[in-house]
Amino acid sequence: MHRHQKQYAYFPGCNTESISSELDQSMRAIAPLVGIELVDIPEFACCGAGMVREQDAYAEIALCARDFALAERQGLPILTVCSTCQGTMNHALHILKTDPDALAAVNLRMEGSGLVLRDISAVQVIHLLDVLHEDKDSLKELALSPNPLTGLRIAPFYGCRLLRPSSESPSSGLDQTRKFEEIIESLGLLPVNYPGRTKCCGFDIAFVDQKAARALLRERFIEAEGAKADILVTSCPLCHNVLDGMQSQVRSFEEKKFPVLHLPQLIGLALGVDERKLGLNRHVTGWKR
Amino acid sequence: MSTTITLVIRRQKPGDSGSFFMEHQVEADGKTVLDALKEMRDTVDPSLAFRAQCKSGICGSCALRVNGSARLACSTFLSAVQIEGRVVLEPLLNFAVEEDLVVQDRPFWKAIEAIKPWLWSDKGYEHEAVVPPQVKNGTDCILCAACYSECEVQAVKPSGYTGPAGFVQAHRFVADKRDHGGKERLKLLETEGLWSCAHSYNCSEVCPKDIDIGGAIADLRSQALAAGLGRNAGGRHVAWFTRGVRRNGKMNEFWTLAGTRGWRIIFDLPTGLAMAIRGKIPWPWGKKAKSSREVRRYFRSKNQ
Repeated sequence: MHRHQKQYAYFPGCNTESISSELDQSMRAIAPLVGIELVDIPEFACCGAGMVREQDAYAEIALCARDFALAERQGLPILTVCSTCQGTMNHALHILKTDPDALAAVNLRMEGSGLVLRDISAVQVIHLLDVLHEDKDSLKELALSPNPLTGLRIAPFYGCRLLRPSSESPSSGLDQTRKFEEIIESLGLLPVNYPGRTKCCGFDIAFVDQKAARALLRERFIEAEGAKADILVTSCPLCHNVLDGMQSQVRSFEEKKFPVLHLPQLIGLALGVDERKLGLNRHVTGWKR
Repeated sequence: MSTTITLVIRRQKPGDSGSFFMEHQVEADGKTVLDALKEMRDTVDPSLAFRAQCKSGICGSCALRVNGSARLACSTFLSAVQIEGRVVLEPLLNFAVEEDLVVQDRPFWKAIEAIKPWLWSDKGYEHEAVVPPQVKNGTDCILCAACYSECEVQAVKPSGYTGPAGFVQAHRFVADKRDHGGKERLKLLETEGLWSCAHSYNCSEVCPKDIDIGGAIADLRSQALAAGLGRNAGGRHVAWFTRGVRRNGKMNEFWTLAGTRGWRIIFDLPTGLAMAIRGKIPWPWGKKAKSSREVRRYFRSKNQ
């Protein structure tokens, strides 16, 4: 157990509550160990994921504003484990802060819902990666040595929405960022540097333009293989969906397959949490050590 | 005290397929990448090839990759981008290299021409037309091709995709009240990859004019849907996703997938089965947020 526990309004996101529920499972398993107290808010709705915006831009911002108001009511910052939720909510926050017309339109739509966003400047949406990075020295003390990941070459996969657009993301720093790598190092493990780490996994067009999506996905594995990586770790369940679930579509039978871990699973393994509690049996590309 | 940095330049002779790196030390203080390139050409190697014209961030000629990201050479200070005393200069991505830092840019212009970036109008302009602010996106664009270089979809979709700069130009004309393209223009964009953008925001990130390219693409999609042009996988994806959120406050993965893919979902069965064996099953009834009825109010009513 971590010395200090900090409360967060936990925003798992739709995918984490459904197809990627092992991410939710592993987050709940590691939270007390890394000083995070998750407060569930059952009223939390979808962030809109940048998709609702394409049908109705103000509806997406209103959805996020509703979630901000729910967290504000509890006086808590929002913690996400999904890069897309983080990116979408920080985009909405940026619009609410900078566009008075949007703020007025959103307030109008929220009227009568009993929810009021009182102080936009106090709203905080943070990704797990940033929380862990801030307290990385504690990880150093907590990690087991050796642990099941010791000696493996670990390829961190940031993907896109955690970092871009950097003007809206609190994890700014973009291509020079080393937050993921520094977390891996704090666990006494070995990160590998490779060009694909901040690139696109293709998820958003996986069912719309499959040819292009598969080409993008295939490139990510070629780059990881070029860096002699053993496993990939991602900060986004949507990236995990394709990196893990569709890997066999873009890698031939003879080609190396990469286990893909969620960030809390990496932490859990390094801290000695039982594999079953981390949901590692729920990956399509199996994890074996 | 002056700061010395190492310039690392990727060089390639005309007609050669291979490239090599050349390193040179330069004083960095107060110098842009373009200043350093000119100094090198004048004092070290007159054969060094690069494009540049206005030196003011207006003409868009001098875009190249600086430490792995597209920028304008004339507006980028060495001291601001050096990493551990090194600045690596390479030609733009997604183009064939003509020589050193000069690329063959014809595909970029062809991709933009494909969306017919001129006013479509067979009528005169009898009244003063007030153009909305969205037009500024297109007029701010200096066609430097930085976005084209960093677009990952462009890399895997060399044809049938106009690319970020093309979308920005299209957005400019769709927003322009003098333009009569309307639905036809949006239809043309469908064939030019409007629904293939993967939202990775590399374009917005590198744009030297800070144009919200991702926002322009989202707005074009929104207008295409409003014009009834959503009968394709991209349009169905947005519609089914939004339907779930409006109904239950949460996205319904089953119906989003089934609605997007239609009968083609049979091709996804092997992957679906492999995921289902591991318990990754999106159920048709999905999840529901508590008090989600109020969420419906957040959506625009049909007459709004």
